[in-house]
Amino acid sequence: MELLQHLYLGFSVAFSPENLAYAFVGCLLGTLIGVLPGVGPVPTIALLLPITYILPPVAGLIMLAGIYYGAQYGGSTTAILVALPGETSSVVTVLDGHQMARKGRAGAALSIAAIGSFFAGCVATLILAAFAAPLVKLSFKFSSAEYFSLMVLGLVAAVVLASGSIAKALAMIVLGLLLGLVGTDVNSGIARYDFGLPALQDGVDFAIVAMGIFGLAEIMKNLEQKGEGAPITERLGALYPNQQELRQAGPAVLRGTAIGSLLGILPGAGTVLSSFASYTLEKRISRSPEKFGRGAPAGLAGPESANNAASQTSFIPLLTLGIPSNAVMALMIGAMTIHSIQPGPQVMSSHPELFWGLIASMWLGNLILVILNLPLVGLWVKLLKIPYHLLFPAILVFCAIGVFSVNLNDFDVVLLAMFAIAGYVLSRLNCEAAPLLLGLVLGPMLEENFRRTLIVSRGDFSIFLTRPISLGLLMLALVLVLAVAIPSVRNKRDDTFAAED
Amino acid sequence: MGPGFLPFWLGICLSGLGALITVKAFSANSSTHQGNRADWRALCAISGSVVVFGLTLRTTGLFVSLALLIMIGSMAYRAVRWKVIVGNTLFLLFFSWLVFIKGLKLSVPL
Repeated sequence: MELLQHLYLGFSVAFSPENLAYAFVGCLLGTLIGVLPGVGPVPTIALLLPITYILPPVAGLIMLAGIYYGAQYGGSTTAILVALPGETSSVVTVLDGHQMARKGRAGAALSIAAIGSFFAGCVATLILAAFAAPLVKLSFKFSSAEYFSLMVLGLVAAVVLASGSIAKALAMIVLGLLLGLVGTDVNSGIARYDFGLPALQDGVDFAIVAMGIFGLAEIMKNLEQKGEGAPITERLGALYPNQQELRQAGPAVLRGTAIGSLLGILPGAGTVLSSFASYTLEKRISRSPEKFGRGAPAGLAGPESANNAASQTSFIPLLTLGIPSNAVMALMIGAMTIHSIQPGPQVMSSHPELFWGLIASMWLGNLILVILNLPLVGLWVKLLKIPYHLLFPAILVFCAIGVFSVNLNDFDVVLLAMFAIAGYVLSRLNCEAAPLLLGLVLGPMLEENFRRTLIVSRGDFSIFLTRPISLGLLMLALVLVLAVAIPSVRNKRDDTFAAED
Repeated sequence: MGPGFLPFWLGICLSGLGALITVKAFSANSSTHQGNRADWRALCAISGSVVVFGLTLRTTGLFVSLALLIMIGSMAYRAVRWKVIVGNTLFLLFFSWLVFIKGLKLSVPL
């Protein structure tokens, strides 16, 4: 049937020797960049955009796409090994992935992440090929009210992530939202929270907050514990996961793939929301939720699959509608425009070899990445055996240069130090940092959709409840809040009753 | 409903949550802090080194400010030895040059 014909065309394009080579280079570059904390796929793709002038369009896009999901793989590597999220979506990977590493299961964690991501990538690519058109129709139903409610749901779901008190988790989310609002307001052009400093008028970059609160504060936390500079993990566990871990991770991979494929299509922070949502789901339905945050394989496998699936399906709005779903896709549009290809619904029919070649090379890219990464697991894990007092200056160097490279702004580096202090203080106070990062990323989008909805409804707040999908999402959020709050209320009541007896 | 709307109300939420947390902290069933003492030396060394790096990068160039970063940052570790710091510094300077200048062609003042 037609789909098979298209796929045949696609594979014949993707398997040509030069396209293969470009895919390989892209994946390799992407992994290296993802491993380096602070340097993300966006600046790299931006740097390499001029190269696509000389390359044929398919080759250029294939290479750029390879960099994109290569960075996802690499980002999870540093998240697991040194608790440094290289990518926004790797934040969740830190939670259980790093704990697994600390228990000596670093090899297993890296393998689970690689295999889960590969599976998710394959499935998502299939979905991309088969369901591109109908899925886009689904995303049409989402207007700004639905996006707002979805983000509220996502933020509430982040509360479930936190192992500490609900109030603290909510406070961190709100703090993250406020940090996200720093900068110039889009609608009015008025600078907010900028303290008169021009450097703050563009807002606080995610990388700075992540490096400071996760990366540098983690260094301080580690130093406080080990006076002797012992390595992060004494035991070098098996390189591959054992039966039990695979059994726990397997179903999580399936669920994560489903979540990621759906959420990735929606423009916005698809990969971030997917990984958070997957973690929440796994924690809720797990038989042993107390293991989460301490090295539960399901807590690693689900989010990893989700974010890889989302990064594949985030190509759908680009290839079918010509709408970028995130910054990387926007750069892809740039690459296509350089070759006078109009991104939009007609790309599928006017440049079929581009469309299907790109899709086929995505699957190929996932394969290349698994082949690249699984053998390298041993190498990465060896890194952990370096005594910590030799390792942490390297982390310090990469964070500092990485942050500087985002905007080539030395004020950002000073901000990094401030967030490092803040991160350490927060961890001493038992406040979870992950919800803060989610709030930071979603804050601006939340506000934009909020404003837009109210403009459309002319100030009528009830529109969030009258639109069915929006209502459904908000109800789900309410249910989640109650589900989390009521057990703790019930426990307290039991305690008081027991005390009375 | 201007640019201050959302920040204002978020601020109110945050204050409310903060009050809630404070009240809960002083109530009967809260636990006292267990764990290690705060490591002030690490805090100052790491954040201080980053600030120094940021301030000296443009004036003294990458290598000097990076060396300062590494040396001051290494002070965070209590049992630090001079030879280790110097060795680590040289290695990291070389490695950073390789990755960031030759590899990524980052436009950092040298």
